[in-house]
Amino acid sequence: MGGALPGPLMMENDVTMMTHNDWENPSLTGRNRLAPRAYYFGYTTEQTAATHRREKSRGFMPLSGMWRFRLVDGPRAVPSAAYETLQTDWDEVEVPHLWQYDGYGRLQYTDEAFPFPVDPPFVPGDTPTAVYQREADITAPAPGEQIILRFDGVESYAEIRINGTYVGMTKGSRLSAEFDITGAVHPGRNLITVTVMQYSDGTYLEDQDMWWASGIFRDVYLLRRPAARLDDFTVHTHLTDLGEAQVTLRARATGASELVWTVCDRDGNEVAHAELDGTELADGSWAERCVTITRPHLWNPEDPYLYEMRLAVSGADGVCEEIVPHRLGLAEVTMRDGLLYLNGSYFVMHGVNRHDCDDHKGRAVGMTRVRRDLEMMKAHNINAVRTSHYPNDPRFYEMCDELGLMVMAETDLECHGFENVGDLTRITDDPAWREAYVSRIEREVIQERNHVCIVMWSLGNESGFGCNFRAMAARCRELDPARPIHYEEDRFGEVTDVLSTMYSRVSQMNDFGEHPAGKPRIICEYAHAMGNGPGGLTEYQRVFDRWPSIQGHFVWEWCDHGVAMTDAQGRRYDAYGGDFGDYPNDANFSIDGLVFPWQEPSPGLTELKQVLCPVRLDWHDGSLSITNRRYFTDLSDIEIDVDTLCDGEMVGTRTLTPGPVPPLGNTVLDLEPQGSMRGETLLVARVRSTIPRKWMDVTEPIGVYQFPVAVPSASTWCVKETSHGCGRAISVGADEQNLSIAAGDGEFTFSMADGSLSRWTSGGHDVLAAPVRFGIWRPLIDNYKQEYETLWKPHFLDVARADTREVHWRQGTDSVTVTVRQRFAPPVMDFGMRLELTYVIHTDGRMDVSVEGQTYGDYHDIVPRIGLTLGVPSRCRNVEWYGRGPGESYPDSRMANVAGLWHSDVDAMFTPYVRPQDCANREDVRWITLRDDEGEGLAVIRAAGGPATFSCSAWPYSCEAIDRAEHVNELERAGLIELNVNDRVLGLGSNSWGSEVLDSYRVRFENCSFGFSFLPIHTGEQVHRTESEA
Amino acid sequence: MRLYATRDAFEANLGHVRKWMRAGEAVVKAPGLPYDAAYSLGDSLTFWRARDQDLTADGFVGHRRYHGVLAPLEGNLRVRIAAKAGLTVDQIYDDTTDRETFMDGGEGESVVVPEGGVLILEEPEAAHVEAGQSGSAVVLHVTVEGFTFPNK
Repeated sequence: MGGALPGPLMMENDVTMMTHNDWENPSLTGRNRLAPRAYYFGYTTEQTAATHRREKSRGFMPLSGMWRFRLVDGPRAVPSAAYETLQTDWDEVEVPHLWQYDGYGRLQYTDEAFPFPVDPPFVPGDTPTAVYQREADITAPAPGEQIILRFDGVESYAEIRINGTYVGMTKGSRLSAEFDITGAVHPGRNLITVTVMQYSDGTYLEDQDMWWASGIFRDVYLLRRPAARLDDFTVHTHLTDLGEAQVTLRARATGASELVWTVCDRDGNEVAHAELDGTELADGSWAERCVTITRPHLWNPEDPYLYEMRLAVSGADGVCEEIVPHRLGLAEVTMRDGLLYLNGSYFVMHGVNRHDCDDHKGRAVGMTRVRRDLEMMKAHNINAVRTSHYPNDPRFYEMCDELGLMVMAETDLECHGFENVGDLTRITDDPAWREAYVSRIEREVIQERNHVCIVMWSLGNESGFGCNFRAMAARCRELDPARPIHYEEDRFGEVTDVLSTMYSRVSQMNDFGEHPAGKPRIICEYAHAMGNGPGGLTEYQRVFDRWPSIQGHFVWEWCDHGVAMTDAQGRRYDAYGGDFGDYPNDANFSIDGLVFPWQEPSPGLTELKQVLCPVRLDWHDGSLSITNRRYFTDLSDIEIDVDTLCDGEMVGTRTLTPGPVPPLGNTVLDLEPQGSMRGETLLVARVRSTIPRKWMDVTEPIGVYQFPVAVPSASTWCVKETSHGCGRAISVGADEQNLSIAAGDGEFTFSMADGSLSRWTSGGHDVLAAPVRFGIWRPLIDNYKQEYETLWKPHFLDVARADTREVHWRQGTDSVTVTVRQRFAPPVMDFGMRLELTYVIHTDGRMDVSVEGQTYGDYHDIVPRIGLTLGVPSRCRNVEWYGRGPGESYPDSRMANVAGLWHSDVDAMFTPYVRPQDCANREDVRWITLRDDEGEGLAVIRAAGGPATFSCSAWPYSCEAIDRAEHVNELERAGLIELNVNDRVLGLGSNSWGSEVLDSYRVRFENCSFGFSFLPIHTGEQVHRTESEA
Repeated sequence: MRLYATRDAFEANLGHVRKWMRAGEAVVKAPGLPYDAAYSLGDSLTFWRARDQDLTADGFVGHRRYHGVLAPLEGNLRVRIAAKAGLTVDQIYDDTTDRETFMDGGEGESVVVPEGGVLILEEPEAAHVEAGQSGSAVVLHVTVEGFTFPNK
């Protein structure tokens, strides 16, 4: 393989590695790449310009699609013929793509570690290198016409040849690159060859937390620019004290005799008009015009109004050669007294971090999926997005303009992997890398600065701080003096306009808010959403809402990076680090999104939606306080449906309209509960917007609140009495092995050896499939990783078990009591809990189980739960409960779910986290039933005298099976339903990377005392309230 | 309570632990920062420079998830330390502030933190900063999490 090749790809090396390879030269960021410019297209008619569809622009030729493809081991292995002729025997791939997703090479996932020796600027000599080829029929350019080949994303290094002639080179994977190929093409069929190397010196700046993958992953296309053409433009809005918008256009053009600038409102009325003549535009000079728009309709994320702007360029003959459309949003970001304002209004960014991610194509994400991402954000009350950690496809910003999402526009820069060699700032503080750093912010700002959605620039992520960031900030400010600059590792705000941290805990954010430092503060990553979680969003939001200086918070992250796979049985699962034999890897650390790989919301996103609800409700003593948490628009569009629930049943409903409550304003309405209040009375208020949105049906609530009104004292729950054995005497039979009890229509069998309830039938049906047992373990969730590794595993809590010391029983007049004394303890260690489990079997066939636990030894730290587990026959899969629902909830993640009567089935309740883990918990459960299709089954309530509610989960798998499975397709059904009724459940936290479980949600290994009642339930019976026996 | 009379003593005892190393860096950094402006170093702590008179309160203050740390920059600081268990709660613990306050009925032990020294409050304790001199101190909140705490 290999041979003498034209062009820089084969520049000479020597054995000292002091090479001049273009791909190992950080001072060289490209060859013959055109200067960056704003992203726009020219059209030949107003009709086509109005479509804003680039496919209809002048001379647009898409080159995405099928390309010939060959992957080799390093640039020297590129066959020489690759540049000269089309290799028809090569494979074909569909561009855009990342070749690893098509089965070439291998995917590898690391969070921050470089997958090759750290030796900048050198990369492996055998770095995977791909050659792409395709032909394009190109007509001869008209006089003065320019033919441009444009890439919107190639990772990480690309050399371009046309008909064998070297055209140029680009780095900066997620930055657009244009090449003038006018002189390289000939009329007719042309061969385009692109050589792509997976690693280059640029890779040292592209160490983001994601899959290592490469290729032409965004669209590639040809543009034909007319002889008289716009070369670049900027448009900037300043709002005057009179409320007018002063809009300044700066433009450069080639061959233009005139440039006409118009701005029309949505109804087609022209609101601004200016003309620039050829003399101003001569020699590529920037020309400037400023127009004033009186009574402007300003853009904001709640009302993303866009004007239609046109730039019409005429040539020497006065004929219009192209019309450049731009959707113009009028908005201005300002800073005053340490706070940010948009159009003069205070605001907070309620945001998420978003990677480009598709479960089948990785970062080669299609725009349909991107739009759905953004619409899902809108539907979940998110108003901002950080492009972590690189620029997106240019159309992303157009969508954010249109949909109304504020963007923290971050450029393609992260060198986090130097942390692994103890020198995070090695290249950040090395002037030799200055150009490589600066060019990345320069290319981003110049291309995207006309987008109104961008409220601040971000210089990159987790790369330390040093001279190159100072240079980046200076260049960024030079290119866009108006927008603030963010970079998290400038912790003291030396060059940035906002202060930022990541993963600061709730109380740390409170410290920042309580002691503001004179600049707006942002937490650019928090609430690491790995697996089940995050918990604690409510407390974070309370702090964010409390302090004006905290003006942005961005959850890490939007979407799981799982790769869709199908196993031999045809079952889907999602792969993560290590699943492709990749090493080193960081396993499932990038399965950390609010959205599953299949682009459906996780319970964490549902919780976030509620926490961010833009209308806050509070109810006290007949008054409903309604607070507008929007920053720009009133509540004229809001309706609030209020249901009165009595023991979960709706007994009254009404709709309230708060009216035009101004931004951040408040109103109070009278609201009394309706209907019967004989049971537990709750008000449930669902907030809706009446404005139809593309992303949300008007019937869909934007938030839900619940307020307790009355709780009856001296009552409990029971199952409706029927003829099933009611009133029969209780009888006992005992031998050495077993204790048999007949009560009501039930029969109970206890093992005298270990005290376990080995069998329970009622009305001839099995009620139980596995004994009741005390437990503290739950299938490990990703957010307990730190606790597991540093606390639980060293103490062997995951294998703590009970052994029985004594079993006693006694018969009373209307009950039989079985007392089981156990020791619950882990191996190896010298701590544990002395347990006394008391089973009381009543004549009506119900069973009370109480637990008294006394700890011994010196472990008193947190545990996953304190509760009971039992097996229920798998036929009893139909679940009904009165408690929080319909979705899963945990003590520190329950705002999205309100108490009511809910039903589901065990399979549907199981949340398919990519790596199986604890799920399906329901909080504040008053009662739960599990029944078969005939209505036979089991009900569980709290024992009389204790708390009224409990935590509950039911799985079709055992805890051990869930812990064992690495992917959902590995889950083995238990043959029964594992039912957990818990006295206490540890909160979720987000400590897969970040916040430990808050103190209030900690469950410690301490003395405990709790109980439950287990009631057989039969066809036609319901759980209902009754006067308390007490 | 851990009281170190000098920064050197503090660093000699705890400087090998990353969070305390960061705490030492913060104390060094603080004099160049404006008063009452909170910053962080790494993920394990927040800190700010405070005037003594801004540290005095009516009662005891305690934390659960963070060590309260005081490092006088100018002048000594008198602090009374008491076990939370023996105090009367004034404001119950709040996760959002990691703070709980207690009435001052004269309980506890009074200590003087010398200029250049470092006082570390433990979780079961609460502190009442008594009227100080017209000096200044660095206030730090340092996580109670241990060696394995992921930390920049």
